Amino acid sequence: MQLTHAEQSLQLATPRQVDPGQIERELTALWAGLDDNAGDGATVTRAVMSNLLIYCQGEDEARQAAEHIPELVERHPARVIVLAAIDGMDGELDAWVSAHCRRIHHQEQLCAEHIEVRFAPQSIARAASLIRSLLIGDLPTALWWFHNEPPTFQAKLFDALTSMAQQVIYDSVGWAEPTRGIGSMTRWVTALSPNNGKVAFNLAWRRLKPWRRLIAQALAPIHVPGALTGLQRIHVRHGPHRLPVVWLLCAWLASRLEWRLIDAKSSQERIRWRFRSAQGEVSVEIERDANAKSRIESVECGWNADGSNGHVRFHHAGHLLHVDPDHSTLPAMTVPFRHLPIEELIAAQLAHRANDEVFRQAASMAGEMAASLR
Amino acid sequence: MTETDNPLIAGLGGDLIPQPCTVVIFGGAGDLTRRKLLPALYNLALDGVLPAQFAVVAYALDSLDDGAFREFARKGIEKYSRRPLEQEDWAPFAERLYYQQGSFDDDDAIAALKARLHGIEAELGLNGNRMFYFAVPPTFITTCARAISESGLVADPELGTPWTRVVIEKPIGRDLQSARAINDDLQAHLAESQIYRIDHYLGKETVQNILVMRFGNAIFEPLWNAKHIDHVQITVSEAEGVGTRAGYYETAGALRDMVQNHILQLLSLVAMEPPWSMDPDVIRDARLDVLRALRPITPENIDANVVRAQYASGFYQGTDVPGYRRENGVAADSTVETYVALRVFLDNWRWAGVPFYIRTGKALPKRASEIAVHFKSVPHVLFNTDEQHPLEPNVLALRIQPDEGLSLRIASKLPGPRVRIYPVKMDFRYGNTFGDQAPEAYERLLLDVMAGDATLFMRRDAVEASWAWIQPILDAWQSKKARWLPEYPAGTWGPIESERMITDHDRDWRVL
Repeated sequence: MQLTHAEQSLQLATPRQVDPGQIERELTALWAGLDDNAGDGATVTRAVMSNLLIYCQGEDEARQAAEHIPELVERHPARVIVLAAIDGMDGELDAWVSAHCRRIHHQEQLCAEHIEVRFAPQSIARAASLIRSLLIGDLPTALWWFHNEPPTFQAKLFDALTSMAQQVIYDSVGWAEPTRGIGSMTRWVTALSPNNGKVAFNLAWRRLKPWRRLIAQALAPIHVPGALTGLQRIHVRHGPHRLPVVWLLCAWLASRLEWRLIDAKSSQERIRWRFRSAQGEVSVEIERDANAKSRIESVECGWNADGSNGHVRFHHAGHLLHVDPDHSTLPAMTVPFRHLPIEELIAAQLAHRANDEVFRQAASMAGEMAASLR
Repeated sequence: MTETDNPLIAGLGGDLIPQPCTVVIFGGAGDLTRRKLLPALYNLALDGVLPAQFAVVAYALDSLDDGAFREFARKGIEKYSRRPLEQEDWAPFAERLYYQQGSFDDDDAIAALKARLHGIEAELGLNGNRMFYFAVPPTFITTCARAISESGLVADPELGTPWTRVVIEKPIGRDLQSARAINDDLQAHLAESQIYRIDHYLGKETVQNILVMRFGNAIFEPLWNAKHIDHVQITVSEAEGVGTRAGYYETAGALRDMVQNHILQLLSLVAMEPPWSMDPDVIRDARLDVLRALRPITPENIDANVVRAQYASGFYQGTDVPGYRRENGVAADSTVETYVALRVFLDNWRWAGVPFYIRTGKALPKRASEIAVHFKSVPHVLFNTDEQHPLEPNVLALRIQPDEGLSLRIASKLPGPRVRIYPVKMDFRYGNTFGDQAPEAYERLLLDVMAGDATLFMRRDAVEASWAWIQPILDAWQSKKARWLPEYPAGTWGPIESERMITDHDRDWRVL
């Protein structure tokens, strides 16, 4: 078994195809081989915090997912099981094993396991039985739905995999049918009982955190009394593929501020909802700008507090989210906005295993907003 | 900022989202600012946890302007930040850095600082929340407190907003009397709730994990008492000699420098009773109870329970190390201890009869901090019948630095037809599992101050309780008027007297 030496990392050169029934034995042999070949008196340590199932559709997606694994296990060591559903396969299962290693101290290597299982979609029950046998006990299991389609669109397969996981991570960014997807996924998320130990997270929610931080601070009653309760108008401009993120942002505001949905209208590039707040009607409009970057470009809010109007324009520029003082009645302020690679988002999400009630409420409102467009 | 005030804040980190504020650093051109404070603030900015409205104003004697200070900060961050400085992140952070020249006792200069603060706060829309960090020598602490108070820079603590919080570095005094005097002076100008006495040890992730390990796991706490624990060892060892700190060290010594603050805080966390809530004062009360339970060291028992020593010339990893008395800035006849070991008891129900062995020193073989809990031996039956080779008892070691983590020594059967037992070590390393990018202690502590959480800071009563326990040792040493201290060669684990203190009781210091 050959290790290729890089400055800080070591990686097994190629995954090894193995008999699915012998995966554990092959992993044991792999560890023994790593120890023997580490050389230079080095020691090999296995670190593992979770079982991580990654669901992909097709070989290309499986390859893309595998590219993220070295960075991911560096942040969150895990036994990673990539599950690739391959159309046209016969009923058998194919499996590969490998390990990702990195040098962490002078003579130590830290390694995580990587198993890939390929199966025909109709053989999910067979694949699930193998996966169950591979999960390390006493550790949490998470499912990362890597395939870019709402998981509930493949209900049988999704149910089989979620039955093994305590945490389900999906990403609504880039969904081809956002309205239908949001509606379908929302029903699943909101049906989860907070007490059954299973939690769901949308990576779009995590990406919103800097926006939520800035808006929450800028409109805090301590600085702008009455702004939140007196909100009348919100306008969000975004680039391609970001509609689900923007949608969730608006749903967050509506749910936290306890607005009630009145109705909705949509056109080619715009969606507009009307809500009722304690102080009157609120108009929320989302506008897609095909020429903009794939991100939220700006959020504009207008309010009336005790008879006086105020407004603010938040916008994205470089590594920052700003309050634009030229288009606001608020002073300038900024929060950093780092583009987080997917590995970092996943690792951060894996570390947060508690139910996020704010997300659940926002997701529920997003579902209502989707239903109003039908 | 609470959820009730602002419903949008829910789920965004709760109480750790600070309100907009200005950080004013007295001694803003000094080493602590460059090495710790600015890198910590920069990393907090990278994490997006600083308030959106925020400014840092450095105040010091050095002749700098905003531009020069920003360059000073950039160099410090480049050198000491745990994450590299990136231009696109640095530029918006640098815009929030300001410098004001002046001395701590010059009324006109302080008035100019006040005017500058008002100007900056008006420009940035800040509401007057201020965190003052006194990164100054201990002798200037009360001068600084008086300056901000008399110039009207301190908000009324009853108002809530805007708030004033003042961070003070150790040491708070050099004995009980001076600590009380400093605290009296501080409280003449500030309310106790406005004072944050920092001990950076308490900000370390592994130190905070002591409470999680004790009270977040069901298996440890039932054993955490005199019935099951034989003794506890706390070691804080430094590999370096006194280096450039001779001026300070000659007035301090190991007991004042390490034991009075860091080590007694570690002891408090290890030995405290379960707090009934996470409220800062509940936790600080529990820590204080430990300090109050410390059995006094008296002139009669000091020789049996305290060893002090000085390092003599020796080697560190093959390199010559001069003896302490030959270091630059050290008096040729100095009797300042560079090593101290103590045998300490807590007179309470939980710890009755359990010795806590403490040792700390300079020029020891390696830099390491550790708390090791030695459990009692299993009975001399079954596997522990050979009196010549008793089974090694279980040891739970909590490593503070380096290689933060914990290990548990257990007995295990060696493979084979005969029963042969061998001690094995189950090792958990933070870095291996959670990565090597844990926040620095100052990041956590600065954020706590901004958020108004005083849990990890020392209250006046705790500072004075620790000095009250230390004072008889200082007094006994003073009355002995020793001309020489026991010595240990640099690069070794301490003097023979320290070995005897523990081996006389059939125990051994751990080799770290």
